[in-house]
Amino acid sequence: MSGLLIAIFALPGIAGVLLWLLPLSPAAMRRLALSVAPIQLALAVAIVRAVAGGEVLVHGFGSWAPPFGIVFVADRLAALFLLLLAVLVFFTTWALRSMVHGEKTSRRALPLLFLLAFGLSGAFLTGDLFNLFVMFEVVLLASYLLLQVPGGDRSLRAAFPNIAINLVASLLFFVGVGLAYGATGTVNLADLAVRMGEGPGGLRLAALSMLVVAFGIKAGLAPFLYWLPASYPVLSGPVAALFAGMMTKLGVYALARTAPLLMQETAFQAVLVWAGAASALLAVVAALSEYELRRLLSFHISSQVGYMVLGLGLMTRAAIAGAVFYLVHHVLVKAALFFVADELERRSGTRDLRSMTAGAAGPAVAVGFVIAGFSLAGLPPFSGFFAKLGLLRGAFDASEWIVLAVLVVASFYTLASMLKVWRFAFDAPPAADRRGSLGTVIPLLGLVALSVVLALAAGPVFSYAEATADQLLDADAYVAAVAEVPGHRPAAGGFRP
Amino acid sequence: MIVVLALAVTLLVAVGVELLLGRSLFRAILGLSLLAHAANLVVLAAGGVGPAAPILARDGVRGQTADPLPQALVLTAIVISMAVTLYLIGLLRAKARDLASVAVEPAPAGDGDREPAAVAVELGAPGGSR
Amino acid sequence: MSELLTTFLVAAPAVLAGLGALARRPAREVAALAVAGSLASASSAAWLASQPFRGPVVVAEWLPALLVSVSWRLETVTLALAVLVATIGALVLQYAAAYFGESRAARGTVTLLALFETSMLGLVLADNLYALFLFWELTGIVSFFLIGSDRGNPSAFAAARRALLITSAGALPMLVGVIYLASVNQTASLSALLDLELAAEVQTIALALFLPAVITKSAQAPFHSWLPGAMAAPTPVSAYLHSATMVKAGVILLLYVYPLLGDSPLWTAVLVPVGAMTCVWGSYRALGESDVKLLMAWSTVSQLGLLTLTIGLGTELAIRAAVLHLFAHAVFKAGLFLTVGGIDKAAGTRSLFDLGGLWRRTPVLFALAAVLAGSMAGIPPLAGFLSKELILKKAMLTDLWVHAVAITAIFFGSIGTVAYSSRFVCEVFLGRPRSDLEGRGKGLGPAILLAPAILAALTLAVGPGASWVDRWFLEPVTASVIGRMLPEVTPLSLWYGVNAALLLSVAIVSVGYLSDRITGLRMLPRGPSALSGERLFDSALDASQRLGARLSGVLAGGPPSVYLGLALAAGLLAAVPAAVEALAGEVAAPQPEGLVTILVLAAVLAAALRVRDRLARVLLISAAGFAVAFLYRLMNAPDLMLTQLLVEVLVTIFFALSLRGLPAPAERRPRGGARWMRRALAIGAGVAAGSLVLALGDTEASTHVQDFYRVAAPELAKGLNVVNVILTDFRALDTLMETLVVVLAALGVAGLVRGRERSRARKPPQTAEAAGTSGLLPGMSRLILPLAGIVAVSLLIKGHDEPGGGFVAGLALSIAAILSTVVAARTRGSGSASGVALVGAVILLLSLVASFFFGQPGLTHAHGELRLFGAGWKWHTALLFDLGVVLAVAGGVAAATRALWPSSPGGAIDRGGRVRL
Repeated sequence: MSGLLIAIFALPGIAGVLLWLLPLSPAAMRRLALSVAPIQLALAVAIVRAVAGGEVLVHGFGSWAPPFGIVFVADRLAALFLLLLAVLVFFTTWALRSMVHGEKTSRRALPLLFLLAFGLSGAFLTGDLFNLFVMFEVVLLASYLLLQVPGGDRSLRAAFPNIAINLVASLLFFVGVGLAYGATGTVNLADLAVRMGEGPGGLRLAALSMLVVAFGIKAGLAPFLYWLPASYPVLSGPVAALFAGMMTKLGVYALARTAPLLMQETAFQAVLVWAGAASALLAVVAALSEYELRRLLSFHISSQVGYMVLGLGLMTRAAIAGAVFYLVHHVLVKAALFFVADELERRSGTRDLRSMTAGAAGPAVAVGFVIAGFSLAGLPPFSGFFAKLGLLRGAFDASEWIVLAVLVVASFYTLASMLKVWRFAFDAPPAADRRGSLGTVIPLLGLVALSVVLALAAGPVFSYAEATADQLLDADAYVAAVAEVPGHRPAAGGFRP
Repeated sequence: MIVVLALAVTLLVAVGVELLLGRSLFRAILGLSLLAHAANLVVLAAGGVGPAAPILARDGVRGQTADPLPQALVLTAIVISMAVTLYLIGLLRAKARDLASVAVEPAPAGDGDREPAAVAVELGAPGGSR
Repeated sequence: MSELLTTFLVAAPAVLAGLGALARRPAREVAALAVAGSLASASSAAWLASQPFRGPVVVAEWLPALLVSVSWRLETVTLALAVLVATIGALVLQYAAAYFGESRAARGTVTLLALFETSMLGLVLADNLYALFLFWELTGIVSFFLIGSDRGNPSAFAAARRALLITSAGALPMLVGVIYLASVNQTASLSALLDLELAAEVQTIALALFLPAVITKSAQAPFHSWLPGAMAAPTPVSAYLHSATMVKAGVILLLYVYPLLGDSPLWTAVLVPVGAMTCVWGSYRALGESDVKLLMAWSTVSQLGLLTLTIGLGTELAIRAAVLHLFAHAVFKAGLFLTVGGIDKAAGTRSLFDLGGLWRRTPVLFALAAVLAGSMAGIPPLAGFLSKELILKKAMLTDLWVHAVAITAIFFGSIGTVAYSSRFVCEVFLGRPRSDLEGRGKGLGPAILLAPAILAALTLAVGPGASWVDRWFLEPVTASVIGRMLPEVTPLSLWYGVNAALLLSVAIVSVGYLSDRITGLRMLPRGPSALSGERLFDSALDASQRLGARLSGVLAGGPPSVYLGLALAAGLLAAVPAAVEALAGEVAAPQPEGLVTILVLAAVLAAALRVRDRLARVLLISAAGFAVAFLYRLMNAPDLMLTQLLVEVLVTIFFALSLRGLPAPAERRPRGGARWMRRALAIGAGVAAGSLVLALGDTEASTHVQDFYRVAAPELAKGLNVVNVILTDFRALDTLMETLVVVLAALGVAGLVRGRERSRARKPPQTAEAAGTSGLLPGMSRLILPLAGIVAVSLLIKGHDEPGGGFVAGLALSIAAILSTVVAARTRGSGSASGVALVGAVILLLSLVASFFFGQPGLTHAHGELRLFGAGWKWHTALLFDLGVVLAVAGGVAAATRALWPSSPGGAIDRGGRVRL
């Protein structure tokens, strides 16, 4: 069963290297990519089905028992992230077509895309803090290279702000791991969860805060969000959609993974709550003044990451469940909106809303935008409403009134931004049917359709989210699951007997 | 020994930050590599100072040695930061060739290719590296 | 059964119209379908009302965890409202089919109207409060597109946006209120809540959260501004939104929650003043509009104020009056809007100044307008008279201040109403026909007149049939609103005998009429526009936009250094407690060679800060790297020392290569303040980090992991160099991924540089001679690689037991490759370099899955001894793994170098189109 983990992890890696190494024609590359992506999707579905019941899949590399070897752990949270990743990879691969985005782009982007997925799935699966750091690095390098795919001054100018902040984050992450090791003598997450309590207070605090800052930067929380609007508008359209959906969520995942294990009943909960609330509000207001579509959307990413992080910080069942549900909604809808942005930019040849010709994108894109945009603003009956409701309910039960107010105000301003986009990009008298090549619209419509399904299936998905919350909050169960990984271990077991 | 490490880290971090926060990509790269050294030393210090290298005698008798794990982690980190440094150098090269300046401000909000014309050109040949 | 029927009646209009639209049928047919759907809805609602069953019916649980479900509330009042909504919907849609010509826009508008009817039906019938909120917002969304249905017209968009933003801003507190009620009472079902007895403060809190929704949706002052603005919509849309549906939602919600929250003191205290203000201001403004449609819009505002005021009185009899007036107003206002549309069609204008004497052209329209306006003005025996009479009577039964406010407001509001009603009728239809109207406009077909006629008939019928209406409609509906049968009340009738209410309304009518006749067409001033709702709203939006501009400047506008500094500061701030702990403890004396290293380091770094020449600076920084390497030596980490040394050499060479021929940029010196900030941060960070190390010095962490490694390395993993065993075995996954990082970075460099230097098509044909190297060096350079190869192999093989291993070997090899490149300017085989790297990566990835085929977990190594030539040859798959590392590192670095080295045409990458970056 745990072979699934190796399969879904290795598949994109091998695919990426082969795509890079083999001298394939663009068409052949696309065929190969489009045959790998569905397999990855199927594997992800299989993993979700396997863990949905509460079982935890574990795999100890090199047949060394944790904490001595590196271990992969797939619980509900990891499985969910793997699934979302697979979905986005599939649609992005589909959208990367030579005839649309240029042969050079697709040729350069496809291998990197899969190597990125390689790193991401590794990060979602690993149960080892230092290994998580290494996975982050793979993801980062792939993202640096993807940022340069479009070429041109803009890519170059965007490169450094992006790399620099991520390097600082990596340094903090690395030092944080080191300090954690200094305090506990282990880097295995489960083992850390067991031993974190006993380490000296000062070190523990330093280690955890460095991790929190590092993850906060990756997640694009205020005040560390400047690299989002600096780099996302530069990426080539489909890649930007994948980034918008997944990259900042990597930081969210790291927080969701570590916070319940290492930070329950610590001051860090409050830190997460207020950092999240701050970005939720500040970023959305900042977005009001933006007229470059993808910059505007990037600010919204930070705002909605804030939603999720504050949900995690509240660390109640309801709040975490709300955050998890919000995550699913956000990944689908945000990626869809970036596909919309790509369509608009290509059809009207400009990035600036004010100089766009309204209605140029055609009815299909307009419908897609209306659903995705209003969903992002949390209006019923779209998926965003239930996501917002979950978080509001969580904040309410925790009687965090200020957080409640922040969520409400933020969703109002989100609506204002979306209406602005509508006005500039879509508000035009219906022209004689100009149906754009449907092929380019499929990813967008597919994601929107998924978000509609999410709204209709809110009940089951939310109960999965609640189950995920229970699993996250029950650190002992996680430790127990990891502890029984087969493999070489000393007579006296690795974990405290 | 720990004191030595502390002093070294202090120096490296101070100079590293000073260089990093300058406004030139070149200085920033140097600063980042110094900060990387510092981080490595910190992690190494987390393992404590051992009496001998973690290389065991062939006959199996092994005294107390330095903690091998931090060394392995640091070695990994050294290689990673080397890789990133190489990439940054390549970036420096490319920027210098393209922009004839190594200023590192991000594309400002109202940035050059806001003019529809310019963008149209860039988007006209999607992904075309100039 | 009944739940399915209810679901059907809610969905019917939208579904039918939607199908028509999807089939791309012309607007007229889509409208016909929608009318059919509406009639079906109306009749099934009526049938349900005739059934004995009352209560909630659940269709489906939607999100049980949050108490969200699809459930309908079948009460007399909800069904009556459903009938009203569906009937007027049918009429309006029929009218719209005739009103609009054929166009794609018309089809869209009609479909949206049907969708709007559906959401309104859902709103009045929903039992689950979340579902009610859902439909509430849905009406807002659809009305956004309806009001803005003049696509591309900025003012239409502005009006639509104002409507949506104001109403949903009001709705958000309501959502919180629903959450509050739901989680306090563990149910979100309105029926269930109505059976409960809520504590006083719960009532007040919930009401306080609900009121914003009511006030904004029902266009109460000061949030009324969106309603007149919404007149940007085509007339049929206005007729529907502003009579029976959208604007009534707030009032309807009040009626629904009256038994639940009505006892709260907030009820009267807020609703009466707000309603009074709206009522008076609305009819005042109506007298200031020359556009007939805007006149009607303001009159709607005023009438809504009257309704809110009446409900605010809070007595059960007041509720009875409100119910009657709600229906009466819906009927006559819908009719009046449709009449206005007729006027527009007939005369081609809506301005009172251009209209006049229209009765000659369209006598029927005149008759209808007269009846409907009369009802609005409260002329007996029309419906409006009955309801206003009722309101007046109830207003007199409440305590003093409410009494005073209410009566005054109603009095002046109604005078205004009478005045603008008479102005509407007289100025439009009577008087001399304006000559310039001749020829403009066209006659009106029956299709345009049908709907207003039916509505007028309705409003006529109520008076004579008062007792019937009372018995079959008013009493049961009121009873189902307040939850019990009313005690003995004087039945509804045209004539209660002479009483204060009658005198009052006589006075109102006469004063209103006379004042209008006297003033003639004089328009009342609109008051200061700065205080107009639009202005307030827009300026608020602009303000937040300006704030946003400032914020985005702060959050993303500055140079990266600011945010980097912030991040470092945040990270290191956390080190302070540990640092304090450490500095408190005593500090051991450093050892001499360590101190020497520190001094060297300090000197080198100081110099690095000083010098201007960039190459010199690079060399100094790498010197610092060597010092660090020596520290590793002191820390008994030989592998680290080796790696560090090679890395420094490599990076230095890279810098040297890439700095060649670059213009030294003028280093901008930051402003003094920034510089000192930077210095302070630098020193602070340094101290914090340093003392963090001290803190690490005196910690006793558990050693269970390292102990296991020391035991397992020789016994299980068959390696003596524990570090190398960790890298290739215990934590091989780290190594695998990190090698991939190297490959990515190196090939990335190649891509970066090549992408540009090639495009410049400047390829100096450099040969060894051109490179200024003598003929001897190339010869030597041929030896470099093989020699380095031997060294590398030895490093690789003994790496498992002694210092060395894959990385070191790979680095050595790549340095050799660089040297050979530099010396001999050789470019042959450059394409293969990156190929080599990727092959290395493939080896590693295969080792990830290979052990799987032996039933072992990934990355499990095997080892053994091979007897060959009478000697034992140890073999270990870790060696293979390390070989992959070597290939990847060496190949990648070589590729990058050759890309940087200009004599290579584009260097490592595109040779044979092997590698694409």
